[in-house]
Amino acid sequence: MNFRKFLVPLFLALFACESAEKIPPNTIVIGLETGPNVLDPRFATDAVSSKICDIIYSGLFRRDKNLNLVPMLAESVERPNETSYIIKIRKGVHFHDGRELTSADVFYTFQSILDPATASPKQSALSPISSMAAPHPYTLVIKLKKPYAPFLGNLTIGIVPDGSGDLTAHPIGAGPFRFQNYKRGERLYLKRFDGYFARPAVLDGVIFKIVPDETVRLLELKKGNVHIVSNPITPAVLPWLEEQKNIRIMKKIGTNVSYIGFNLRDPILKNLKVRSAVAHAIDRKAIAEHLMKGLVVETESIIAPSNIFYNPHLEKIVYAPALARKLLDEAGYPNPGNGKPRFTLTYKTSKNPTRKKIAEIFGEQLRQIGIKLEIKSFEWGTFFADIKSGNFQVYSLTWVGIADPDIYHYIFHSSSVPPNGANRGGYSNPALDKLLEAGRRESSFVKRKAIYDEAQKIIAEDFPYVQLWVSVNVAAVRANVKRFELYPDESLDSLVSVRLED
Amino acid sequence: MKRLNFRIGLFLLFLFLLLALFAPMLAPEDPYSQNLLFGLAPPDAGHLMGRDLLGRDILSRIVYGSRISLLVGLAVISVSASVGMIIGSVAGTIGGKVDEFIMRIIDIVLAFPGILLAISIMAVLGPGLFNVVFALCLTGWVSFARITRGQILTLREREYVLAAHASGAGTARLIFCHYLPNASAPLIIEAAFGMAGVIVAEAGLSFLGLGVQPPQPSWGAMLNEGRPFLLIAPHLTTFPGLCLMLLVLAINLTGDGLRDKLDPKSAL
Amino acid sequence: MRGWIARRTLLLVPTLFGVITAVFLMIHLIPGDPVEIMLGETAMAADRESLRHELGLDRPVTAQYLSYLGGLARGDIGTSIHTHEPVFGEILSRWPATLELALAALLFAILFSIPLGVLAAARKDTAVDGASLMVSLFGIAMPNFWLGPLLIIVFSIELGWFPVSGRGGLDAIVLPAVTLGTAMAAILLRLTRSSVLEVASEDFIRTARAKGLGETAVYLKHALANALLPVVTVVGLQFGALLSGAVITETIFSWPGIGRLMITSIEARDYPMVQGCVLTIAVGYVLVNFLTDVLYGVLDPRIRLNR
Repeated sequence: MNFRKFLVPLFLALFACESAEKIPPNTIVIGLETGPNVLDPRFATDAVSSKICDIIYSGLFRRDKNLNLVPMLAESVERPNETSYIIKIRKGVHFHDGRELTSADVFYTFQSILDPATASPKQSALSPISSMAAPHPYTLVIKLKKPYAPFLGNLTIGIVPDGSGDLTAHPIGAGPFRFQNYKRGERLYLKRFDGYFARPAVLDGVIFKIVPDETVRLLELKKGNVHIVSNPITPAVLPWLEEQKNIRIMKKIGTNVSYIGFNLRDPILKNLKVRSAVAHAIDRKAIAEHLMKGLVVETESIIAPSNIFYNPHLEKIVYAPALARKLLDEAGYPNPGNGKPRFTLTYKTSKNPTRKKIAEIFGEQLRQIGIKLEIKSFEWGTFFADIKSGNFQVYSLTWVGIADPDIYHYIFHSSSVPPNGANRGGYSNPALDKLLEAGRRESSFVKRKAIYDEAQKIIAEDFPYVQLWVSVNVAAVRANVKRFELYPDESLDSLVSVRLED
Repeated sequence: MKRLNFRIGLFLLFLFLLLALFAPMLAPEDPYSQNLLFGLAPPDAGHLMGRDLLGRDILSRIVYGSRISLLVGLAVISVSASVGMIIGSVAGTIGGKVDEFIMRIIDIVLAFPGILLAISIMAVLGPGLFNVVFALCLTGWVSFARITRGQILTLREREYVLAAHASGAGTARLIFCHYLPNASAPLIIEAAFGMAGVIVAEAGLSFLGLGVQPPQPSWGAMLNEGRPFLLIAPHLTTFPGLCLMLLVLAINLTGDGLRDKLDPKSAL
Repeated sequence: MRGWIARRTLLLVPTLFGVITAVFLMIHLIPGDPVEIMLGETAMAADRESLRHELGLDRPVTAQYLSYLGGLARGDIGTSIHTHEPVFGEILSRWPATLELALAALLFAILFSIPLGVLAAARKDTAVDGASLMVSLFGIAMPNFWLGPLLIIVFSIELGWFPVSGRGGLDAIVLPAVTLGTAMAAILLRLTRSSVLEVASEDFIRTARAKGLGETAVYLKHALANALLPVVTVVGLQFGALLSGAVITETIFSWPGIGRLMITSIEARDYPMVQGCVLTIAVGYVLVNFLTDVLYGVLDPRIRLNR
């Protein structure tokens, strides 16, 4: 067998591939850690897929910079009664393939999401619908099974053309950017859609370049091969980034709220004094300042401060180790002396490096009040499975992108123990249950706000969670990128108005 | 020169062993005590190797970390080398169906994704130091087995082995008196280098949640933790990296010396 | 020879079967659920159930295994749970990048280590030998995740010789190949040196020397050829590892290879994709082993292939 005859051509064939691709003119490059899984809004669940779908497709509504619901394709909404919506659809909206978008497309999109055979993960978002009709090309009538206050907030899903199957391979929407090509694991290329119903984008295109390693992503930015790198950025690297010429740092308070969750079935943790002691032993301010360099802001609720439903009158948890020690004494866990802990708690976390560091700090801070914290970090799938099944004592996680306070029902209502909801610690409070049920039915904003103000207060006092902080969205942007804006929910909507200078 | 190398190697190994044994006495500070105000502080007179992200003394953490890194390295390599050499010898000496079977098992182990194996072990046995050693041994023996077998395949046709065989030497005698001593060179190199690989691999595993859990220090984990700060605080990776290199140097010098002592021919 | 090849090809089947079964069992039995991971925390129970049903994940593991084997028999290795794309196409698009990187790393390792190893052996116990030892120690003790970014900082950022990351063009492969190939080069360097030395002390070399052949000729003609056998074993072993073990290098250099695809699929519990990756990697391994064994025969006629 002659290997040279075989190997040489193989080598030549492999290396004679295309040379490095240049950035097309007037095109912005955004560095991403992972690429989108799917590019069909009916299936997009991960943050990256959803963010990108939002600029390829348009929905009836969208959330603006302040998370308020504003109309997009919907021109107006009439509500003849509590359960009916008559939605007028904007005229002159076109898909990327040139077809006009009408109520039939909206009808089809919702219909296909509701069809179990589609296996759309967004089925329940539309499940309050009892019937739909498209009596006119620009009118859609929706009837609900029963009044459901947050319903319109679920109509931000992008609209797909009537009759389309899975659009991931070749997305067609009515958004400001149209799909050009996608090399998985490398890059996604979108071009401006000139027929966009609102003012078309200034840029010729957007490239999402997938650079999994953070250090390398920042080096690509420094080199100018990438224009924007956003969350996550390791906080300790921020001072270095700020020193770089041609790079500016943008920050905007976000909606992701982190917490420590307790298992309330645990004999030690069902004691409110123990939970309260833990809350008072954690120095959130020191972590926010020194470890996180201001990329988190302390908060007392799972509703982000930028949300209109946030209750600003909640009492702040103060860092008070002496009080914490006293609470533990009272709870029946005196200090055994000679360096021994009062008791040991097991803390589960994912393998994310920053989360592991935070865990180490918690461990040190709890040691100060005599609690030994044993840290166990797991790969995400295993960790999540354990948390879901209630197999934990203490853990920490983050609620991502909460817009509507109805989430309290999902997290703290006594009926929401998994698999029905996310009440993983087994919290149960009849007074809260009643409030949360009332909040679902109430459609007056003022009354709803009062209900959820009270719910937030109860949770803040009962400590099923120790509220930690809300994230600050951060982006490092090349100086020649103008008019880029950060949104609390990390939306990329501002790309429409972004300009690139030479 | 050669003898000197061997002695330097032994001396260094001995030093590392002392470091590991007497860590509590040798470490200048508590390796767990944090000071967030001094996160990533560069080396100075009080902290010769600087401080990590949480303001802990890196020197002290390296001293303590030597315990885990040495333990994992030595345990994994000795177990996998022994197991691998036995299996490889059996395959190479007996040959035929047995060899085929063993080679297929080796193929399966090699083709199996190590990370999946690690996640499975963690799920079944839970995180822990012993489980790290176990996970690394499960895949570690393979290279030793293949090298041993490969060496035996060449050696079995050599004159002196044929002569030994003709004079009625048994299989065990062939393996221990002829094959293994003559196959020692690549095996010792694999062991010496493998140990460095194992120490680094431990970091990868603790990354997956298997094994050493924070805040316990290990060199591999320290290297891994320092990675995001390569641009702004290179001392986080430099010092554990240098220690790892010194340890590898020590093992290699010792290994070379050992090989020379084991191998009768190299006395020439 | 032909019979031997046919037998080896046939032996592929039990190996692949073993790997597939082991992976199938493991990935299904470990905690973590693709639907939970995909839908995230705020998913509704109803959505999870309907998706699970639609994907066939609510069936018993044995039923899922049998239907996977059935698909395999028809040449269908499934559709990714997460990307909705056929597994085969996705994997096929990743293999060229993987092979390209592995071959380049191998090439670097061989070109770097074998000449240096022979040189170190020929100049045993001199400064050259000492330097080669230091180089190889540096190589092995330098973890990829440290070396890669350092190379980028020096050669891409400071000197601007190579692109920072990404695939495409000859210049883009240099740094990843060096990063991936360094550990292998270090091992090969030591191995070449020691096996050349070992062979050099054997009788036939001394005979060659006695015949009056020059020292260089002795090493090149006689010692190297005989010393290559253990080197081939290790190259075979290591090359297999390069195929799937390049995850860290692929991650650092944004290289769209099979290793990264497999890890992200394992993390997402994307069962069909994991199975597909493992299947093709296993085929790759077996082929490399096969070539290694053939090379053995070429290098050392004393090993009879048709044993």
